[in-house]
Order: sequence, then structure tokens, then C-alpha cells
Amino acid sequence: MAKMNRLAAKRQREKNKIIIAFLIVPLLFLLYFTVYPVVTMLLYSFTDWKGSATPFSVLGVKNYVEIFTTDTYRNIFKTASYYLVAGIVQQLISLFLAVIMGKALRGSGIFKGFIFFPFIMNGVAVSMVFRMFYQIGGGLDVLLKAIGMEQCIRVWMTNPVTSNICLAFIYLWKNVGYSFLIYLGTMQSVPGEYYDAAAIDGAGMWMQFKEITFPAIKMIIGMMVTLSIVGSISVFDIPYVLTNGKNSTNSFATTLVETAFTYSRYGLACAMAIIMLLLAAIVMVFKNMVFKEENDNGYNR
Amino acid sequence: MAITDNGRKRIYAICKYAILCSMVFIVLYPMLGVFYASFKTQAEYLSTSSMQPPEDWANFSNFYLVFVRGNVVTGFLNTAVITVAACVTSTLLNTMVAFCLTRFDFKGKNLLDRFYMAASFVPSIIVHLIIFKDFAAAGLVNNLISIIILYTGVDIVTLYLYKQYFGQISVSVDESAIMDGCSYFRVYWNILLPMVRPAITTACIIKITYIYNDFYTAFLYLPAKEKGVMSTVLYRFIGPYSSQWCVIAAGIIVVTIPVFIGFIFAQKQIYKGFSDGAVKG
Amino acid sequence: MNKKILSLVLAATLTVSMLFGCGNTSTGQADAGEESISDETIVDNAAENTEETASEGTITLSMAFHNTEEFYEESIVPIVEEFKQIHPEVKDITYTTLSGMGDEQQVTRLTGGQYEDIVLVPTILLASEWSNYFAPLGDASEMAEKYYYGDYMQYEGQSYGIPIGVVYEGLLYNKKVLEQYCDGNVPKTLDELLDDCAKLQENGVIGFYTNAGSIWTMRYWDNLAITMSDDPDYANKIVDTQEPWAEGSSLRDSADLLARLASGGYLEPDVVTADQWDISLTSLGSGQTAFMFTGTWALSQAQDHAVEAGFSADDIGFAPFPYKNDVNADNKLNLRVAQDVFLGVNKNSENLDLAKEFCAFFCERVSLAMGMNEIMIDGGKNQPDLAFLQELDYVQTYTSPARDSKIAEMAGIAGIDVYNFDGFLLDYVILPVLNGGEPEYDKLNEAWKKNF
Repeated sequence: MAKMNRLAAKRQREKNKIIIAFLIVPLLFLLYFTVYPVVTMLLYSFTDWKGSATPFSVLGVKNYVEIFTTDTYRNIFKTASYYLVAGIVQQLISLFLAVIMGKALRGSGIFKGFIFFPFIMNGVAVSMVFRMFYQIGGGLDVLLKAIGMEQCIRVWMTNPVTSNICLAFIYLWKNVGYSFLIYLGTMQSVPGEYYDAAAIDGAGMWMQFKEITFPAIKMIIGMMVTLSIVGSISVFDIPYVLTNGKNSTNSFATTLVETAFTYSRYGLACAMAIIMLLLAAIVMVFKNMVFKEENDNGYNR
Repeated sequence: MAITDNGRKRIYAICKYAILCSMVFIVLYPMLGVFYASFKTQAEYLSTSSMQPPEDWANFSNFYLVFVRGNVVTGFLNTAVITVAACVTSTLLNTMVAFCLTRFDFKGKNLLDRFYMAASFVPSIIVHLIIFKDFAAAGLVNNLISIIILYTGVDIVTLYLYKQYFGQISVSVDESAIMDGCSYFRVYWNILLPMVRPAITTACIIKITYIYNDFYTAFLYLPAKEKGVMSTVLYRFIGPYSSQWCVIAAGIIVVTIPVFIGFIFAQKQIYKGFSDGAVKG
Repeated sequence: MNKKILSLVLAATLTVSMLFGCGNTSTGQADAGEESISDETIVDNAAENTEETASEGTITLSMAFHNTEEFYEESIVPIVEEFKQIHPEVKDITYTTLSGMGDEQQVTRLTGGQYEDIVLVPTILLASEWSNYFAPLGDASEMAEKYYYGDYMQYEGQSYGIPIGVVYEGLLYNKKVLEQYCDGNVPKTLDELLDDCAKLQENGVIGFYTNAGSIWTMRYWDNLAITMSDDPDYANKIVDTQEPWAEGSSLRDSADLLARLASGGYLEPDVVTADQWDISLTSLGSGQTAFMFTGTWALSQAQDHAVEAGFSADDIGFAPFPYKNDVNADNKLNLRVAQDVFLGVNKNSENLDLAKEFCAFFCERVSLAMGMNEIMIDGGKNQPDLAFLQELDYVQTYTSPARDSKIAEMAGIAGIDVYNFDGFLLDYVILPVLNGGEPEYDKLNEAWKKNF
């Protein structure tokens, strides 16, 4: 008995040692690259910091009040809604495609390659592609003409609604391949026999999806939806490169960068960053409520 | 009966291909303009519609310029060094964290998990404003090490992937090894790591894609010409006012093709990474 | 085992970098305090420098500029070679291009203390921040006697930047188009300009290509307000004005002019998409556009584009902006001689005096290659194409005094980039008009009032 206890104690010690050894470096990284900047931002968010060593004064919550009472900043949420819709559509399309591709299909490798392709494209490349696509007489106009919808052609970027839709489409176009790949991979893990058995029982495509596929990929859907909701707030390069965030296309992230660098109001920008983090945290809490995470199977379970 | 069944299957198959082909069309069609532009001269590009094919398909001068002026070779070598190093370090860090999170119970475990989630939402431009001075003071600017350190961190998607993987390897595997006198480190290093190889491949592909496309950090930390990387090649042709759009178009093709080919070859591995990781229990 | 070593190394690297980070930053600040600010002008330093010459060819300076490496090889290398003749101790001047690098990255580099000896001063940097990063280049009033805009980047009596060149702000126009549709008359008055635009529109020619989506191109319209006001110091008046866009103000008049052009349908169709500069020049060069309102630095670029599009360089001309009627020798049109970007010197440069000298040396010589006039008040050479402007009896040139450093801070509070990039003109003036509304001057005034 004593020997057992000693052995257990030794194992516990060894366990502690390995936890420390394994987590020390990642923790230092986390501390330096995340905690330290976030704490700095939090502190600066109560000041009128101008980005350097120049003295600044404490403002209290004034920055936060300003964010919620200024029109420009409120427009951010309107912009985010476009990307949110794009994010949801992205999940639907990629799920649908993954279901289609789920079973062996000849030539699927090539299709997968092409659908994933936009995701690996360089940001400059994507912005150039779509600048040419939306320009007057560009790809979109040519396409609409070809299918006889000439009356729809307009200057896409001058209207706030169409410009936001156009930009959100880029977001969708670029990211659909990524979520598609993740869903596909997850679905392929479901043993084929399940589907065969279900088919024998007379279950249709929809029933198969609902009863077999969905439960298997529920967790990953939760994660992808969370990421796309948060992504809709923090989208940056697309509006930044194509429209400079003008014409009501300013997202949280572009406004933040503009506030900090164009207007040298780093304190206010820090407050925006903190709000962005809080929003993300709220979304995450909500996600954990909807998709309860199953416990991991550790040694101590 | 059999015939109608077959017929229905065929209709299904045709529908599937129709949908997939239209997807490919949606992906490729917008890129047609860039493809055309890579063969055009600057004057031709600026004066013709983007959807008009180039006059001279044999005009490879843009591609030539990309290679000569764009420092593609240096960029490729630097990128190779960075990706290899960053893949090694980030794989180690991510798997170590995932190992601890799935194998042990300890104080602050859930908190750590949440922190990693939160970390992905911190606006990086402000982060760089805060930490860049430290890197500069340490003399790490224009040093590949700086960017390798930056790419080393644990990210939430990769961590999730590894957690899934470790999670489905039964604990009994570890326990029997420990009974045989293995230390926890050996369990991680000799037993578990080899078992999650597909996940490592997948995670590395995601990482490489990220590094390959991230120009912001590369620009900031490696501004010198001889430290150029693939993601900044295109920027060599963007002038303060006038940009060589056709060369950039050619650059896009030159830069993207290696990744595309790499992807086609590695895709089996990538899917395996995702699918194996997802099996529950 | 390997892994353990590796993680140790990593941990060590990180800790070291953090330690260094803290350590160095604090020393840096201490230095800043102790460093005595040199009041000597560059010329004085130059003399000292030659005497101090150490061994030959040992010093390497670095510079960062916003032009491409191609431009460096063609136009900067000769200047460097010339400098090396005078200063044999200089071995080389390395070049880092900032083209394609955003302002936010440039600022991050500055705050990180990691930047070249001679470097572009980012336009978005507040004046109160200059002394944190840049060395004073001399007494502002002395600099003003020597260079156009020599005192423009002044803070507390010291100049922190030398302009790379000066330009005129006005109209680039396509002569062929005007000959074809407007009897070849270059508009001399506002009415003529608007008439021309109407005629051009009937014939499917774009009147003005504003490039508004690129943002920085809009600054000329705010500068037009200064021109219209007959007061070179007009811009600084905004500091004490609660409603700068009130009825009758020059800022309102210049914005109204833009709004009129927009509502008339005279602007390019897509004013929102960014970075259309090349497209606009080709459009001007090939006769699809008649006018652009910009600086003369763009003239040679526009001519090149015209040639590429199969026309002649002579087809592109420059004229003062006709912002009023009744123009004659007694009621002259103002033509603004404008600044462009400024170069500063890293205050922590190891070869501070040499860097200062090269900065001035460079700025005195680079202008013509950039399509600008030289900055020297005495003996500066002008672009040959622009000599005719001096002879027009109905035109008078002026320069603006240094800008009040409060403007940028107030602009930040209001969220309106007035007298900087002027992107606000797109959101508050052009787009409301194009989408069927009125310019939103009330909103602008309201935002500006936050400062009071």
C-alpha cells in the first residue's frame, strides 16, 4: 500500500514536471504576444495615448463613451452584418459542397483543388482580381451582359449597399474553400457503413445528413460559425485595400487602424480593440452555451 | 426498377458535376482578368477592358521581370527557411499544449483554452505597434529569427486539430507504455507524436499558406531587399503612384502556382489530417 | 531530448529579447533627455564634417524613400556617387524602399526605433511627435530663407524635414480633347471650366478624374480653399473656427465646386475604388478624360501615359485652376506653389551630421527627377515645361506658411482628415451628391465642434 502511494506520488511529481516543461514556452509566448499587448491596450484605452513616449493624460471611460456615441463607429456594425451574412452563406455552401463530395466522386481531387484555391491566394492578388472584376466593363459586367441582365449593370462601388455586398462576396469567395475542406475532412471520418445501413432502412439524403453527418460535425460547425461571426467584425484587408473603408464600408478593424494611425488617437483605438475582444468573448460564451463541448478524455477522467 | 434507380443516380451525378463545375467557374472566372493581364503590356492593360484577351500571348516580358527584379529566388529561399523553422517550432508548441490539455487535469486548464481562443481576436496591427520596439531593440529586425518567433505561436485552429487527434487516441495506449517504464515525455515524443502525423501535415499546410500570404509582418520585420520573402515579391512592383500592374499579375501567377501544385500533391494528406482528427471515441 | 534543448533555446531567445526590449527602450529615453539639441545649421556642420574625416570609405549611411528600387538605381545612385566625391569617408548609402508600405507600418518602424538614417517623415505623424524620432535640421526661419517650405515642418522653432521638391497645384488637361469639343480654349475662368465640362459630358468625355478612392489625391481640393481665400495662412484659421464649413467659407466654396462637378456628372464613374492612379493618367492621356486637379509632379507621368496610349507628350498641358470669374491682370488667379513629402534625419543616427548633410544634399538634387521644381529659393531649377507660368500676367504664385500643429490633433478629435489626405470629401461631399442627396456640411461642422 505504501509502495503504491509512493508510486502514485512519484507519478504525480512527474506529471507536474512535464506539465511545467511543456507549457512554460507556450505560456511565455502567450504572455508576451497576447496578454502583455492586451493589458497594455486596456491601460492605454483609458488615456489619450498618441502612440509614443510623449506624455498623455488619463481620460477614464471617455474613449468608450465616444465609440458608442459616434455615427462613424456605429456604422461598423452595419458593415459587419454584411460579412456575417456572407459568413453564414459560406458555412451553408461549404457544408452543401462537402455533402456532395462526401462519397467517392470521380475527379473530385481537381474540384477540391480549385475550390480551395482562393484560400491560398495572396491578399494583394485577391484585391487585384476583384478590382478588375468589379471595375466598369470588368468581369462582372461582361458576365451580366452575357446572360442578358444588362439592366442590372451599375457602378458597383459607388452605392454603399452594393459596394458592401461586393466586398462581402470577396470574403465568401476567399474563405469558402477553407471551411469546405474542414467539413469535408470531418465528414469523411464517419464510417461509410453508417450510411449504408441508413440507406437500407430507407433514410433519404436529408435524414442521413440529419441523423449521421450533422451529429458528427456539430462541434466543428460551432467552431466555424463562431470564427466567422468574429471574423465578420474583424475583417480588414478586403475593405482596406479596395475602398479604404470609404463609402460606409468601414469595418471594425479598418476604423481601428484609421483611428490609430491616420488620426494618431491610439488610446481610442485601444478602446476599440478591447471592445472587439469583449464582443468576441460574448460570442464565445454564447457558442459554449449552444454547443456544449464534450469533455476531453484525459488521464483523470 | 434497376434502370430507374440507375437513371436517378445518373441524374444525381450530373447535378453534382453541374454544381461543382459552376463552383469552379465562380472561382476561376474572376481570375481570368489577372491571367490576361499577365500577358499584356502596361499600356494595353490600362487602355483595354480587363476581360479582353491580350494581343500577344507570347509576351512573357512580365514574367521575366518578376524573376529578374522581383528577387523571386531569394524570396523563395528565405520563405523556405522561415516556413521550415516555423513549422517545426509551431508543431512542437501546439502539440505540447494539446498534449497537456487532453492528457492532464490542472488548474487553469479551461482558462488556457479560452485564452488561446481570445488570442486570435487581438488586432495584430496594434500588437505589432506594441511589440515591434522590443524586436527592434533586440536587433532582430531584418533577421529571419524575428519572423520565425512571430510565426511560432499557438493558434486556435491548429490547437483544436491536435486536441481532436490526441483526444481520440485511447489513454490506455499511454498507460500501458507507462507501465512499461516510459516517461511522459517518451509517451509524447515516441508514441503520440508519430500517431498524429497526418494532423501535423495538415497543420503545417495551414501554417505554410498563412506564412506564404502574410505580407504585413514580413514587410515590417524584414524590410531589407535581401531578406525579401514570397509574400512581398508583389510589392516590389507597386510604386508610390504608378504600379506595374501587369508585372504584378504575372507575379501573382508565379507566386501562386507553387502553392497550388503543392496543394494538389499534398491534398490526400490534408484530408486525412482533418478526417482522422474528427473521429470521436 | 532534442525538443527540450530546442524549447530551452526558444525560451532563452524570448526572454533575452524581452529583457533587451525593456533595457534598450529605457536607455533610449534617457538619451533623448540628455541629448543637447544642436542649433547649428546644416551648412556649418558640413564644414566640420570634412575635418573630422576618419579613414576612407568606412561610413555607411542608410536611407528609406517611397520610390521604387528602379528609381533608386536610375536617379538616386548618381546623387550618392556625387556625395561620395565630396565625402570619401562615405562607403555607401544603402536604400530601403517604402513603396507599398503603409503609413501605419512606417509609424510602427519609427516607434520601434528601427529606421534608416535618412527617412521619409510620414504625413500622418503628429508634429509633437517629430522630435521623438527626428533630429532638428536647423532654425526654421533660416531654413525658410533657403528653401521653399523649409520651415513647413517646424515645431518649436526648429525644422524637422526638408521637402524633396515643390510643385504647382492646378489643372492637367488634354489639349486634343479641348480642341475637339471646346474650341481649343483652356478655361481661364470658372464659367468657362463649367461650360467645358458640360460640353465634354455631352460628348461622353469625363470632365474630371478625381481619383477620390485613393484618398491622398483629394488634398488638392482643400488646398484650393486656401487658394480661393486669397489668404496663404487660411488653413491655420480653422483652428479658431467652430464651423469651418459654414456658408460663405472658402472650405465650403471649394467643396461646393466639387459637389457641382459631381452633380453635373462630370466626374469619373467609379470614385470609390482605390488606386486608380495609372488608369486615370491613361484616361487623360488617351483623351477619355479632359482634366485632373493635381500637382505638376504628375505632368511628366501623364505625358508618358499619353505617349504610351499613342498620343504626343505635347497633348498634355498644365494650367492654373480657374476658381473664379473676371480673371485679369488686376484680379489675378492664385497659383499655389505646394510642398510634397519631406525627408527627416534619424536623431539616433551614428553619423548625425553626415546624415543631415546628405539629407539636404539629396533634397536639393532629387526634385527634377521626381518631376518637381527644385526647392532652393535662389537658383532652384524649374521643370522646363512650366516656365511659361511665370509669364502669364493674370497669375500670381504663393506659398503657404507652416501648418499649425493643432490642425492634425483637432482633425483626429473630429474624425475629419481636413488639410491632410482629405478623404472626408468623398464621404461627406461627393458620395451624398452621387447618391441623390446634398453635401453634408452640417455633419462636418458638428464633428469639428467637438473641439470646442
